Amino acid sequence: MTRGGAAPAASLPPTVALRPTVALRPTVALRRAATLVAVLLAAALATGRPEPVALAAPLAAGTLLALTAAGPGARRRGAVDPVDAGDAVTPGEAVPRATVRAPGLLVEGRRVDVLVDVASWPGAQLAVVRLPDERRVPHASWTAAALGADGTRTLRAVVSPHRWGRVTVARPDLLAAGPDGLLVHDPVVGQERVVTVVPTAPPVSPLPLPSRPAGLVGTHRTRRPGDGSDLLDVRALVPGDPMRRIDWRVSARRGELHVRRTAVDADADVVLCLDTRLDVGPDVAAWPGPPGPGPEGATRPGSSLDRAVHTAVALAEAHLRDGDRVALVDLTQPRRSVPPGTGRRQLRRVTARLATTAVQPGAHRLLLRPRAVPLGAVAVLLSPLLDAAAADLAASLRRRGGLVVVVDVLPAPLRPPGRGHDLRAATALRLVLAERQVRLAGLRRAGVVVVGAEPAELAARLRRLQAAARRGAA
Amino acid sequence: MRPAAATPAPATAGPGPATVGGAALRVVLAGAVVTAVALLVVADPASRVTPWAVLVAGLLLAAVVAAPGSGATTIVLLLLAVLVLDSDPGLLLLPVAALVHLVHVLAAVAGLGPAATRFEIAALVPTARRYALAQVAVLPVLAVALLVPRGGGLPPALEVLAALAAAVLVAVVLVLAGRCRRGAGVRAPG
Repeated sequence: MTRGGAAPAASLPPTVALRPTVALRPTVALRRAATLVAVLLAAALATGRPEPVALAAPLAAGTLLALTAAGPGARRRGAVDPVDAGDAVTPGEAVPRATVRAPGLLVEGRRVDVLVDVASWPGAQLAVVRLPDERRVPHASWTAAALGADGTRTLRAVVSPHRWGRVTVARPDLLAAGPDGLLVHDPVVGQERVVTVVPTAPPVSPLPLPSRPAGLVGTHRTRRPGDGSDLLDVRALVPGDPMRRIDWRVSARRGELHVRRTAVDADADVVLCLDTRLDVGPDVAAWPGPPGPGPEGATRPGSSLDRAVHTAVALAEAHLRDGDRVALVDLTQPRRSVPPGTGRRQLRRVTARLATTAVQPGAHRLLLRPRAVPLGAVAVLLSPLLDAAAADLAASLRRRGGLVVVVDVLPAPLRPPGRGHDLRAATALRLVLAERQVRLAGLRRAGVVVVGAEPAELAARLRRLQAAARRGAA
Repeated sequence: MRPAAATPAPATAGPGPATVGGAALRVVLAGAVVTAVALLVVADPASRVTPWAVLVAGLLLAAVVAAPGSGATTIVLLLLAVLVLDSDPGLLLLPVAALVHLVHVLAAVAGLGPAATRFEIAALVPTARRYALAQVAVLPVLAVALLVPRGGGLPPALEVLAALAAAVLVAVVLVLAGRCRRGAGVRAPG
């Protein structure tokens, strides 16, 4: 076997041609059959009665048939151990094995097929494989699958990841068995297949955007006349007006030429600022502990960071759908920020970056580059607001002008510490929440819009803001 | 709007291969054990079923169902053999022998995975075929051996063994004859 035809043969690493032999071991069932047959025949000879022979005969016949069907590939000794052989062995030839084929990027909550290729030795009858279970991700269920004559089989499973981040969708542990389960190979621990699951969120209305345009494309109506789609007014023709804008029906009715004026369709920058210093859940008793990721490195569902990410996805979708420019800023890791952009590709960039968002417990400061939020842009700060840093940042952005929206992602309702905790914990919680209320009131006084992260509440609040903005524009 | 790059092939609809639960296999396993014991009790009206025997049998049965791949199955099968020797089942020995074989096969297969394992029917077909083949090959011989009146100086066990040996000899001759015919068919002329 050669690797690369141009390379000289002498420089190639030696390879071991693996024979289709595997190290099998007898199961309890085979030992049971042998023991029973021996004991029964001995009993028959000792007692001189035919009944033990009648019991032993089917057992012996069935066992012989099964061992005959095991095939020439089943050898108990002399197999090459592909692990010990190291680089000298082509890795793909180790059997039995199970490999997972799954897309590298999944969407939260969307069902997708995962294929598991099982390879065993010829003569193997079945393989008990740990397959992903759609209902119990990341758990799995066991399936005893029939193998083909060549000992291979491709199994299909459906997964539906219910959380975003790096998620293990399958770890196909495997036990391959020969005929009637009399011979088995040692169990093989499957290789975990970890994929990135991008978050999704229910649709919401976009934020009301300022009338100041940041460009000449987009779908938001402004009060500035220009080439757009929404009618602004109809007025008499003046020199310089393009002829194609003449409204002939109005002109005929009024006796002089009139033109239709439209409002320019403008876009706007929406900067989503993510506070990743903390990730707290609704259980306050767990707050003092390390607020890091949950099992398998994924953020715990319902935590503050989980709510922040879902809200960011919802807002990004809403604004990118309307042609706005959306940027993402990680306030603890500015290098992970996504610069402003539009369109579906930008949505993919933002969601992919959000899918790899993780809490940064060691970060204490919020880092926001001066040009990260352009003048006139809408700044959306997603934070649990458990300290003054996020509120101070929102207030400073508001002082620069422009709309600043703070999405309060603290889980609600909180579960206070139970009886196992002393009064100091409850008092500390009350103090923290009281300070937080003062902080929120201060933000509202400064003109910052504070909204909750509950999807229904967020959608309703954004609709009200949109309606108010339209009334103001009118 | 959904991210386009994050849209792998959607899950395909349609049922997968037909399966049977590992729990169902274990229930059948327990049923086979209970049926075999019941046949032996029926075959020997003089036998007395004591509460202690029922308790021990229940515990052993529970152990077999919980861990078919353990030694409990071996103990149960040995106890069945003792019951057979203790009673005189006559022709009921044939179904008991089939049930003993069934218990062994079911325990071997069911013990490969946890109770929640889903076994594809196709994975069990070869085992069922071999089971049926063994029964078809052995039971008629046993039936003849049990029906033929015993006599002479030979022990009955040796008579049955002799019948089985004759059956095996016939089977070997038939297999070898078949191989010879196949070999002659593919031999090149000249």
